[in-house]
Amino acid sequence: MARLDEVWGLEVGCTWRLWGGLAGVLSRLRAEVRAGAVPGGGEPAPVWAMGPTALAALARWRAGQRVPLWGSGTGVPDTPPLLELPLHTLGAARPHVPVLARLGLRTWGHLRRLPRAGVARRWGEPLLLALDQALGLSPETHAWRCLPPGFDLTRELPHALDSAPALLPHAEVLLAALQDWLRPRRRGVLALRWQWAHDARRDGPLLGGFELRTAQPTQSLDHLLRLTREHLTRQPLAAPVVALRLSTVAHAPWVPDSADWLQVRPADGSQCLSWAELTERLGARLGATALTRWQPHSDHRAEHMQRVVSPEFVADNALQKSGIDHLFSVNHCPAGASDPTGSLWPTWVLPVPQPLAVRDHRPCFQGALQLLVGPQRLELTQWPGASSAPCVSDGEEARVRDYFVARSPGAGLLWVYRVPPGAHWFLHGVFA
Amino acid sequence: MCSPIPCAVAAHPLALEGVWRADRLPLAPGAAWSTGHPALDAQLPGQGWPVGALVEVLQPPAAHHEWQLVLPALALWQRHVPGPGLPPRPGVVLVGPPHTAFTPALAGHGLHTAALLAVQADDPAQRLWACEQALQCPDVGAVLAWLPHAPMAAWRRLQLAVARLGGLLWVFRPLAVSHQASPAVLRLAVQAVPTGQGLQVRVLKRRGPVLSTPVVLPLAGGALSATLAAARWRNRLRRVGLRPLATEAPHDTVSLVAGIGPRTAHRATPV
Repeated sequence: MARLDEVWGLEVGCTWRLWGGLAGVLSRLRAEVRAGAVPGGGEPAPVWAMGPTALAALARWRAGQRVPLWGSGTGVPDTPPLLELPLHTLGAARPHVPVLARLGLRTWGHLRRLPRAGVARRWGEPLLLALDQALGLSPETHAWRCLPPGFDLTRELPHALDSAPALLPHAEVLLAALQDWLRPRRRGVLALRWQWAHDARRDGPLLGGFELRTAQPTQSLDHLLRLTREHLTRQPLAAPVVALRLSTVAHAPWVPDSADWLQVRPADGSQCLSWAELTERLGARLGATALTRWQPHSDHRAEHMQRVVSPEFVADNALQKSGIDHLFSVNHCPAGASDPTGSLWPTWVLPVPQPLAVRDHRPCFQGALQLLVGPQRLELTQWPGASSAPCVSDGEEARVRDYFVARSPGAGLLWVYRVPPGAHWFLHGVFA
Repeated sequence: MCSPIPCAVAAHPLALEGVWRADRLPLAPGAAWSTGHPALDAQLPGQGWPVGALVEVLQPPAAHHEWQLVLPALALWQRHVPGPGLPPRPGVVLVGPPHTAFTPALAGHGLHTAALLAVQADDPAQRLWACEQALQCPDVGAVLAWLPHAPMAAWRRLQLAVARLGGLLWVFRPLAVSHQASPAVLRLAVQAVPTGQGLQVRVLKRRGPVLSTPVVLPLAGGALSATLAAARWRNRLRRVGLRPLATEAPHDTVSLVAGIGPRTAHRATPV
């Protein structure tokens, strides 16, 4: 694709069969141009002409042998022989048209029949070269359009919109353009920035926006659109929006997952999510604090034996596919407990221990508790310089706890502790 | 007609050819995964949890026996390969768990805890949505959801969602909803055994004849049951008047009892 004076030229000869001939090219063009147009804009359909070379197509266009892409009068334009085209359609001949007209030269054929040396001496080499290029006798060079290094596209909205569902179709168009930009470069986007411009108001903000991050480089329009929709639904708009802008903040080489087709697939052929997409989608709708994953940590206190890890791993090297594979590889953890005493801990733990009522010197929870095993004394001291503090419930000051396994008639096996000096009992965990 | 499994019927006087008897368990139309509890396996069609179907578990309030019921099957399901050349599906998603899952204990029972994800949401509609999303991920093999109340249409959607990729889905609800209709394939009511350790499971609904007696599942073997057994033995000795010595403990409990913690006092408080 290149710019030819006042029109755009598209070179389709090399890939004629790929597009499926003229009909295929035209239908693709119609679809793409219509998709990119502002809906309800009322713009006229673009007109097109064709020729064996770029200059010939331009000349035909200038000569009026062109038709609109859709609407009334569409079809294939007539293509009379090139040599019958008038001379003013050739860009290099335009300055000389009056002189050539007085000499009786009106069409390309007339100019062609003149001796070449004479034409070159009288009107210059460029005219000869242009005629040769237009007739396909000399190769022509163009400054082809290249994709810009960064993606930054703004879309003016037809009128001020004030709700998230109304913004989504325009967001989809921008994301489709992003996908077209990513595909030939084989890159996936890691972070996107959405910005919008508000209606000018006296004391309101002029711009608003948010950033989207994904753990893995992605080209998937569907996934990005969903994340955008979740964020837009949760974000309040300060004022009606008049323009929407999408720009990439980070992108990385994208390697398609070659093992995708080996995965379990649903019978009806509908789409599946990957683990990263699932965590992002859940986090976008429910908030990042709603998701939790844990990492084991070496400590003697129950509250600190596991650490909460962000499911997206934005800061870690586990961004790469191999990292996530490593987390999932169950071969690292052989079947059968790695730590035989692990099953002595309760499987449910209360984040803040719950105080228990005491009757007749016995703690009660869904009935009087019967202490089975214990006591196991744990000190709540921590290493000097450690930032984690023991999580104590209100009113607990001591540094030592005696843990027991107790049975409750209504709730099964419980993990309770008491603070030695007094008769304060607390519930800390439940055994399944 | 699905052929019934022969459970000790060869000598039955009514064992005629071509006659299906209503007290037999039929083979499950889909696959089933062993629960890890032999007593429960014998009472379920297909001898295990139905794969790709909704299982409802009802519990009394404030009782939490989910892991005891589900862990033996889950630990093996994470490593299970669905087919030749396919990767395992280790992801386990907890939707709306009542407390914090304690991963050292779960890892001690054999669960791969790096693939465990907990999703908290207060709104029931959001919990249902999170379940559906999790069931659409091929990396997720099992979903445990705590959904006290949901409309009937939502249950059917969950059933369709889990049937698409063939994972395991358990939904935990309060015992009070046992009289409500539910489209779940299997419905269990789980309670602690009043005396002793273990679970009492009543099968409220299954694809087969009604089961009137509850199934008792003993506490799974491991360090905890050994510890409790050792505590009972010491108490018995104390009542008799003998002081327990470490060398006289039952063989299988010595090494495990010593491993409870660094500062364990070797006596239980008198009860």
